[in-house]
Amino acid sequence: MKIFSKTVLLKKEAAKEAYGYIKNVLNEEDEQDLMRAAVLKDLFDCGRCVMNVAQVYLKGIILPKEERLFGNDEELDEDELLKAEERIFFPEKRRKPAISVSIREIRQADISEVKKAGKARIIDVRSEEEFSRGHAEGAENIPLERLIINPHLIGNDIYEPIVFVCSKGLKSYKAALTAEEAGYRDIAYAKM
Amino acid sequence: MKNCSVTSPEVIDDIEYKYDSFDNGKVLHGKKKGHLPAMGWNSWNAFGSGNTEALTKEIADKMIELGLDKLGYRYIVLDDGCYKPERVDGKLSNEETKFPSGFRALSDHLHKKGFKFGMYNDIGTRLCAGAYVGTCGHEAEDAKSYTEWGVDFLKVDNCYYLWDNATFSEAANAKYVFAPAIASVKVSKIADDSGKPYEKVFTAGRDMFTAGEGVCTEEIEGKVYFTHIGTFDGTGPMRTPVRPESGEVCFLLDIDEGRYSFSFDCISGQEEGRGSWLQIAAVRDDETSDVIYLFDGEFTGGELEFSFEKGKYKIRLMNHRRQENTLYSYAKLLEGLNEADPEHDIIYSLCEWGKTQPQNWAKKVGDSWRILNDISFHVGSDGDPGFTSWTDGYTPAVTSQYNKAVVMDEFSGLDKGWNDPDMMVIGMGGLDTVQYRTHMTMWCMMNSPLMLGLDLRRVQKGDEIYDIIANKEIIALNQDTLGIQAKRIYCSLLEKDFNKEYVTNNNRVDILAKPLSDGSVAVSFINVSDHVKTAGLEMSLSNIVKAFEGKADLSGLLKASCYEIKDLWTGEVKKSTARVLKTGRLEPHDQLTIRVWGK
Repeated sequence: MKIFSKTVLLKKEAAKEAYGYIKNVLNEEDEQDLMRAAVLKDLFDCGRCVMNVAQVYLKGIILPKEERLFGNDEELDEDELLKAEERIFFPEKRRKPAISVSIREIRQADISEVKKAGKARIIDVRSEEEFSRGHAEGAENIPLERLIINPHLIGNDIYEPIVFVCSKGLKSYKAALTAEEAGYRDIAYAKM
Repeated sequence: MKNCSVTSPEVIDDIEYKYDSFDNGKVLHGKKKGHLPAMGWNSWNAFGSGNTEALTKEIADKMIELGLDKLGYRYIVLDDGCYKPERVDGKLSNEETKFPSGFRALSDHLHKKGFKFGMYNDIGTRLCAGAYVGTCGHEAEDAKSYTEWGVDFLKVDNCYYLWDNATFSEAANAKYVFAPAIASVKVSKIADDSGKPYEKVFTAGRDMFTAGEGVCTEEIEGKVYFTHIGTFDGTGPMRTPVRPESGEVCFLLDIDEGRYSFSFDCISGQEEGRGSWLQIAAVRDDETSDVIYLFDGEFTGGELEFSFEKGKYKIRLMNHRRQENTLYSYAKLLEGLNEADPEHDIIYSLCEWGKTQPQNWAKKVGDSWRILNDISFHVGSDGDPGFTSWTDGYTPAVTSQYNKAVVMDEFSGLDKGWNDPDMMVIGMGGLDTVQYRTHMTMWCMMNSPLMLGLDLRRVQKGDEIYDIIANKEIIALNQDTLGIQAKRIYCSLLEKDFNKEYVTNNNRVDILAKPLSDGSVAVSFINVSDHVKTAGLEMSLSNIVKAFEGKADLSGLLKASCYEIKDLWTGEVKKSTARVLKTGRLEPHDQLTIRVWGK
């Protein structure tokens, strides 16, 4: 073992040692736009690990347990650590994740498709009054005015797929722009 | 004094620890009021867990060389990373490579140089960096150690906390801080000689109603349940800090004297929103009565029995343990400090990242309370300044912290304590000089603790960073004896409630005003956005005076015939007779901060 201090390490410990080596010995540049790593729901569980985990994840050195979970407290055995070392020394072997900045796309969606797929959160941005008179099944109501003031009302998960809806497609488009500027990544807008 | 339990949440009989007492104006364990925001240097942002005795001494010398001690930066705080990973004979012990002389020697050394000495611990079982030396269950011994070491300041964190799902704690600890999901309660009189029976079922959404905020109505297998009976987690930027932060479920009883059974149709759990701990209280409908606390414990379903006198009651089903458990734990250490040294004046800095909405209760025990998760997740080390941002989708950014603290002015004060938007990041990578300067202005206007977090060995007298951290006039705002946090009196995204509406959209300008002890007022025009504001801003003095009616008497300003206006960054002084303050063009992230005296 050339880099890691032990033959078995917790993933977050391995991330710390790997990033330390990459940065201080190999003098590699940091990956930018760390919020791309926020696709990992457990990224902020360990404050002091955030930078280490984000870098080794974005560089494709240590792989997440699942698409949206890094697995900070998982144990890596000698075999996995040796593979990680290989990826450090041979960049062509790194397995960078498939997220890119272009995921921040706002697309016009067909609301019936969305309802059928059932995967996205539907946020109706009309007024409370209009919403109470009738809305799509399962839709939440955050009036546009409230969303513009506090986009974080959407929630703490910036990768959760969201579809904004309104009656004409104008308010929902504005909502989508506001959410994108606030850092949300999987946004669509539609009219009802 | 009994230390905190490590096996179960405390039995809390003393109502002074309960939610209902948070606003009764009383403090616990003789907590001293009147402390201004703490100023000093903390090792975390500068060196992370890599801080050492040698580095600390160099920093102290550098602070004297730069004259920072004379400007008020007095507290030198050792953050995480200074203890041995395990207790020695049950006591805290210095890590011998990093702190070879021990804490008493370092404390004496710093005291001799005119500084105050600060240390760090955690109300859980382990510190955030992992050492098994959290104060939980050891409060008495640790308080004694801190007193023996001459500690003047304690920052206490919340990792590995046993009675909530805090950072590194078990996720299942959520069971302590949420009530079960409740569908209905059947109240029936247990048969007695009086003869008159009573039975009523109170159902969620029908004759059971919610109070406060946060309680959700969910349909689970065809039945309607009230869920999320507990307190909002304030660690992230989602939730406003100024509204009620918890919710209860209530129903009304109009009953004869007797013994009654409460039979619950509920589902318990161990997750955020659905827990296994219930609190029940009864309030008689004549408003002069005290609250009767009926039950406060683990509950997964079934029946409870209570005796009542004849009367009309509002029954409250709730769970305020997220706040009460945390308050209890922080209070325990204060109790220990009092026991170890009744004369102590230790500054108590609470660091539970806003998780339990400390703005509601921390004034009972502490001098400041963190309001969010960290301002940087990439702190520095010897040779690396670390990294943060101006804006971010989560908390590691200047604006994320500012946006929340700026609407929390009503929670702070000399009789309460201060909102803590985390230690300063002046000197960190990811920000430019304009942003450092606006960050310093914001923290000073908001009466935040001013804890420097950079390797001061990089700073020279007269360089850009020095000019920012050593600005006497700006520091004077923070240390003004009136102790009133600035109020936001204008926000370009709002039409009203400028100091109450929580705004996280950074595409805006804010105007803050702060009344000062000599009758003057400081006004800060802040361009939070990434775009130039070419059109100037205006603010009338009468608006400012009106905004502080009842809080500070600025009416003298309106009686003046002319004004002296000083730009607190350029030093330029202007005289004016106009009763309206105007700015010119404001660059992105920049500010104009002036102090106005009426003559």
